[in-house]
Amino acid sequence: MDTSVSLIQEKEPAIIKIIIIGNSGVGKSSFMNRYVNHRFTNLYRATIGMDFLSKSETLDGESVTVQIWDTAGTERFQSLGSPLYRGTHCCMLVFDVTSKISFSALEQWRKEFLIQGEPKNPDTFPFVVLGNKTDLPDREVSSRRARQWCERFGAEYFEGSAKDDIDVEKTFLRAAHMGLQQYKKHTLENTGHFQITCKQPRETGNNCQC
Amino acid sequence: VDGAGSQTMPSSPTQPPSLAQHLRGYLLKRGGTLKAWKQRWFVFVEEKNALDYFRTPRDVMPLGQVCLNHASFTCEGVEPGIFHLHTPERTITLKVTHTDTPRTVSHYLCVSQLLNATKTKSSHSFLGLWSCQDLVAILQKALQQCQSEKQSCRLNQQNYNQTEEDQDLTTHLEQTQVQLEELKNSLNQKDQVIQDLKKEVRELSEKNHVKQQVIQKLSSCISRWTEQSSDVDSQSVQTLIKQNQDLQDDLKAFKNQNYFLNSEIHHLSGLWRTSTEGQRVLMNKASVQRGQHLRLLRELQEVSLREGAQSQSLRRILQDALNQANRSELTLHKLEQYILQDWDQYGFPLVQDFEVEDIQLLAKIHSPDLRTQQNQDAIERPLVARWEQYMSSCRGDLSDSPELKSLIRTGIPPHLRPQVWNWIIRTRTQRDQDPLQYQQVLSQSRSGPWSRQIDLDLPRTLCTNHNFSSPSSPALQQLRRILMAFSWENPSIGYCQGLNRIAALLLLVLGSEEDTFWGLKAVVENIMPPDYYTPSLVGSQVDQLVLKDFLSEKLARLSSHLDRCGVDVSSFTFSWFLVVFVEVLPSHILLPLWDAFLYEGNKVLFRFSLAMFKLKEPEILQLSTGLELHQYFRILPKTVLDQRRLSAVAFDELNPFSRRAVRSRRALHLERLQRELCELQRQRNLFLSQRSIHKSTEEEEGAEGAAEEEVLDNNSEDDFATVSCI
Repeated sequence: MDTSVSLIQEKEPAIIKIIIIGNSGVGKSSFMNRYVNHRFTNLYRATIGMDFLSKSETLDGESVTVQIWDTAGTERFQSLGSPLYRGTHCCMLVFDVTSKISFSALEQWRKEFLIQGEPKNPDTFPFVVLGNKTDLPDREVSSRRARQWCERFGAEYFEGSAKDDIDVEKTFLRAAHMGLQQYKKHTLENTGHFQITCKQPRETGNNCQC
Repeated sequence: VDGAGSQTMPSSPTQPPSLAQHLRGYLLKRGGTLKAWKQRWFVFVEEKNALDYFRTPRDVMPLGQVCLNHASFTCEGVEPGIFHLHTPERTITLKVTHTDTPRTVSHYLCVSQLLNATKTKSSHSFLGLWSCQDLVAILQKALQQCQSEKQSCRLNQQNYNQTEEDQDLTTHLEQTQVQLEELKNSLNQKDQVIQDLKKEVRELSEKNHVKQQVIQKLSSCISRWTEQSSDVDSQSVQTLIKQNQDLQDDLKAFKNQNYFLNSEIHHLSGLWRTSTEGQRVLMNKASVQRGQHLRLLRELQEVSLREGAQSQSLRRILQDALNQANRSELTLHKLEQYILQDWDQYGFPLVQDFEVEDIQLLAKIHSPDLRTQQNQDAIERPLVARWEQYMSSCRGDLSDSPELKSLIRTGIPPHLRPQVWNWIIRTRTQRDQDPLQYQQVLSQSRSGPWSRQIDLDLPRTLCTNHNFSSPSSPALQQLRRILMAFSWENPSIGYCQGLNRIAALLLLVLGSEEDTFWGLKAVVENIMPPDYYTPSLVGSQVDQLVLKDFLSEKLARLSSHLDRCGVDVSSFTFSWFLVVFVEVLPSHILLPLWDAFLYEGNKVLFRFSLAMFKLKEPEILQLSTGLELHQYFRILPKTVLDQRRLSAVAFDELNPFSRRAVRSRRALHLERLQRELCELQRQRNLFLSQRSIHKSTEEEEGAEGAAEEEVLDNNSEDDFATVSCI
């Protein structure tokens, strides 16, 4: 009998999973890197499959870890979606304000997320919509139109620029906030958030034979 | 006496009988001295106004006479039927013999009337009185009857009351019986509960006992340890102090040494700087002088030619000198490049970049220093010699052989790589027999559905590579043409992200656009399993499942650790396989991997992935949260530096690794995955049909919405619409 049972109660910060989806080349990876590493470069390679970054934040005095899942923008990688999408607390739909096509595709992306992610509350699941590249001059999607579309399903709309670092932090913080609400509503109540771990008693290393 | 009583009673009150006739009958008389009761026949004699008593009614001579003149009458209440006649002479105690109470009372009354008669002495009134007395007797009789009835009634009522009470009592009894039953039941239940509780108590006490044992053991362990440690402490404290002092001395010495060495380094770097400065000056001078020398030589040559046939030998000397000069210039040029560049011969950066957080993580798990193993020659000199020997023995005409396989596993020397790769590609694609012409394909594929995505990805291909980093570099245009041609030639695949990286690496090694095109065909159509890059990516997904199988088989501990932490390696390995590690591994590992990959096939990817996990197993096991593991897996390939160790693990330590095992697992997973994909497609269709119903009800949304849908349809030139189940 060398197992001891210990209860860990909510000391670990909550992990908020935010997924970023949207067409290829709209700047998903750039936006994530700007938020996490405060850096922008033109040298990002195209994301294959998926990528992850995480950052610690304090929301309302509660420390959380924001885990951001960056995805490949070409639809070919959609068939990998299910494990990627499941357990998401907030979904960030990204488009390029200089590309009407990337904006129109958001409807499809949203559907795909709902199909494969299977959130428990599809009607109230938190979505954040983000228009990137506002630093560029030839804009094709007005913020009014984007906002109108967001109102249809209760998403929050933000726009900014990863390159010029406009409203990047704000967007992610809002997403993390919405994610935390979702986490509390749909994760805690289901799991009870108790962990029972069995620890092997560590060898007490003070046996000095030197 | 009864007979007497009934005889004395008149049947009709209208004819009054003679008084003497009525007042006669048996009475009990108490004797004077013995006080014993004697039955006597009493007769009232009217003439004398006295009572005569006889032994029997038939006697003629009375036994005695009681004169009733001035007699009084009392009745004793103690014993019924007893009364006293008081005359002036004596007191006679009489008793009615019959016990029947009403009759006795009538007798009393008779006697009392008799007494009244004695008082009045008037026979006339006495007669009237007698009729009245009859009436009274009748009434008394009625009263007696009434009283008896009443009594019986009372008895009845009492009975009735009793029966009612009985009924009440029985119902009450029943109720109490029911209650009793209930109580019994509840008692049983409670008994059971008590038993259960007792059982629980027993279990708990057992548990408690076990726990106490554990606690005892643990505490004994602790006490033992503390004893040991205290023992050791007391013994070794002095030696430790001594060691500590020694170490402090050492530290001081090392500090001094370090200081000295730093100053030395500083001094030396200063010297190095001046010497390189001098070198550069000298090189400049040398180049100037070389130029002069060359000019001089050429002038000399011209002069010698102009002056005709002088000595043959002089001309040869001059020619040699010229050649030598040219060659030395070339080597000098190369040397300069090497000194000044941070890139290897393919244009890949020599030093890997890491984020601060990543370096912190690596420091935490004591990953070996990233810069120590950096400048390792990819291939050692004896290996190069072996290669040269092999190439010369087969005179450039390569053929499959175990020797070639083992040579390729050690890595192909860079100057032979294009030749060997081209040979492999040629044998794999049967290029010489294929009528397909690259130029022809190229001219037909100027534009296509995939150009948008290809153009989007071109500036994002090998962006850390020297040859691709500039947007104007010619390699990018070559790459574009190759990808366009390939997508035109393979409509079922078109363009899949990741092919850009594969093509770019082939282009860097092979140099020729056409060779690269065939190389890409070899990789996609020949080396990789089917459907690796088609829109469903089934082949790639299956390989990830196969990899996970091998991981749990060959690295069980690692695999279960990852499962526990909720980390799915395929999130990372998927892209490793899809791009064949291009832009994943550092180039000095990537290129030998590609050598073996091209020659042996896709199985090499499993070998190297598993080898990487095996090499990094100690580091991975130190990380216990999903977050850290995710962070580590992102940079893991960049921390793999020892090429020889990695390929030793990949090709030797992971054996056995049969091709058949890979194939059978692949078939198994393929079937399952295809089912899942069909299910996903079904769900998608269901969702879309639901949406379309929803949409049609919202038709009034207006033109804008419709326009959006249209744009969306145009956009689905990409994969959304083409995902199909096989």
